Amino acid sequence: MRRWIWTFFPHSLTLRLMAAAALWVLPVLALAGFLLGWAFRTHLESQLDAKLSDYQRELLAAASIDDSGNLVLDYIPADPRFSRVFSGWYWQAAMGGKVVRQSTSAGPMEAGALNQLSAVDGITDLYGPGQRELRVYRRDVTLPRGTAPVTILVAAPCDELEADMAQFATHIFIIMATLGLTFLIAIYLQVGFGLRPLGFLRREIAAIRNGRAERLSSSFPDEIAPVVEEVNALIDHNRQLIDRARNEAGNLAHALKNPLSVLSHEIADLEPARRAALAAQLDSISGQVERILQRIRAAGPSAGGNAPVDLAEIADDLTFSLGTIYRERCLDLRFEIAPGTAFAGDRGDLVEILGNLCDNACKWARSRVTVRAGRRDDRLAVAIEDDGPGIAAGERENVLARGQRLDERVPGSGLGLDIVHEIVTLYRGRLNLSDSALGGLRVELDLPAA
Amino acid sequence: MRVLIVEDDSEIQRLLATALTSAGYAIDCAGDGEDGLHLGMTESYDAIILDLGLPQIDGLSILERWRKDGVTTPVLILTARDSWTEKVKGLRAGADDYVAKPFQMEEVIARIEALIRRAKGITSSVVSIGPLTLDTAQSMVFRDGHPITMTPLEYRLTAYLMMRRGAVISKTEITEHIYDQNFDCDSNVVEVLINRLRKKLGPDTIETRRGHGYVLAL
Repeated sequence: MRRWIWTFFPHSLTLRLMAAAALWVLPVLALAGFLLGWAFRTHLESQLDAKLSDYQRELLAAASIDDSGNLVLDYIPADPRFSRVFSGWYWQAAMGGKVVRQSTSAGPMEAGALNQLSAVDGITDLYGPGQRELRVYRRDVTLPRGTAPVTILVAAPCDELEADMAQFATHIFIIMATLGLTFLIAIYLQVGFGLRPLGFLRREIAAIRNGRAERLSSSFPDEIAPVVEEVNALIDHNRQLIDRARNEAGNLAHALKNPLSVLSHEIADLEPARRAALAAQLDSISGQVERILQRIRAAGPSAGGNAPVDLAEIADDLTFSLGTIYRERCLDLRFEIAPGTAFAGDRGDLVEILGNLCDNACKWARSRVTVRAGRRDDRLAVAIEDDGPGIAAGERENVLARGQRLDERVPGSGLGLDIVHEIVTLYRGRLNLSDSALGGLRVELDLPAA
Repeated sequence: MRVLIVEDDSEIQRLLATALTSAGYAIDCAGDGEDGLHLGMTESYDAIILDLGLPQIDGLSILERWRKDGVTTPVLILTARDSWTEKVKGLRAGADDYVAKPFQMEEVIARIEALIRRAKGITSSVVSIGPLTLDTAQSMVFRDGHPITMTPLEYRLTAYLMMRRGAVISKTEITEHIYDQNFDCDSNVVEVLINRLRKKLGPDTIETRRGHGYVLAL
């Protein structure tokens, strides 16, 4: 049943609901029209019958038996329709089966034709002259002094009634069609109104995906609330998975790094050539481990459920942390964050990006490191500058390449930049190296803003 | 100088202890969080190397407890957890430096030295008082530019006296800072050590303040 419906309205709830509404609205309207028509016809028929009865009574009142025993009419109905030939309106007075007098309209008709047609006392429908359907009222009475029963017969055409009916039906159809159309428009609007929360839901989910919100709000109608709850539960579950993956990554790091530390120390006693060879291998292993761990750790933009990440807060953390690590260098580390600058993504990822870049800048700087961040349209622009030696234009490409170490003399350098580059690429951002006005390196970041 | 190493990996612990001992430090080791927390609270150290992933109590909680209880000893976090989020957390908890594993031994020793100097208010790795020069980077003591051969214990005491120059240092403080935890605290040993140093550095270099302790008299 469900599949069957979907083949007709594959993609639209609105169409489905409209079709369902049409399925009952249109028959109900049709039934209403039919019942109205029936009531109207009954009314017209009873009116016609009343009229026939009136004329019949009039004729009966005019009828009498004269002294010679013949039927005479003192007067006849004045309705002009009885005068127009074959108008459909006829009357007839007969006695003992013999027509005594009839309306002018029945003039050319063979006398008794009507009489023959209607043999029943009361109202009958029958076909009269010209195969025209007539409604006939016949009454047989015996008048005082009469020797034979007198038959009074009045007929009216049915087609007049049918014409009235047809006109009425046209009206009814127009009214019902208008009504149906109005209903469908009203239902369309009603469905749109009813389904509006779905639009809100879509927008909120998009906001989560774009990192502008963390969860769905709770202000949804009862019918959608369970779905919202499920989505929120799914987001929480995803976040737990990410957290668990990060924990596992941390555990793995712990497990691998201790042996690596031990090995790199143990080879110190070897002869220089062998030591260099082993050290290079160990470095390569450490580098690979580091990169893979970083990649596992990076949540990326698709993780979902990220609240906008406030840059000022991270700047505060990094000022404190780098200030502690480089306390003796007395660096002038300055963050200039435009108010309300926020990142759409995972907080840990941004901390990793900025931490590595600022750490690099601090390592190389002579005395000054400046970080500026602001919004440019819907992008987040960050520039990190130092007054260190900088990187020659030709070298910059290499720095971003995998695992390239820029200078072995500064411990731990090099690995940071390519990790940063990878995370930035995850967010479809850009990382650009250039010369700083301060004299050293200028690193420009382009990331999604929240 | 006395350093506490809180590290659950016995190999790393052994390596650090060996390297730091040969650099002239007295070393205590703790293999789990509870031990580490306890030692850091009760003993007096010049620096602490702290791993984060520890059995029983994790490193961050230990650090927070120490700082809450007023332990101001410089702490170097040495851990495999090297994301910046964790670095920030560690430094915010009160660490003074953060080194990620795998590490270079020279770097750890250099940073420990720097932490101790910083804590004692000395900015250079070379301290000169009168004819004596202490080079903590090389673990050497010079008199008028000539190196003096010393046992590790003698070096540790000289370095401690020179870094705390001008201050009267009690025997207890000396035993606390130059011997490790397992040392059986006998005050005669300190006196013997002081006398040996006087012979090497010069008879008037170390002054005895009766009932109080010793002071570098240069």
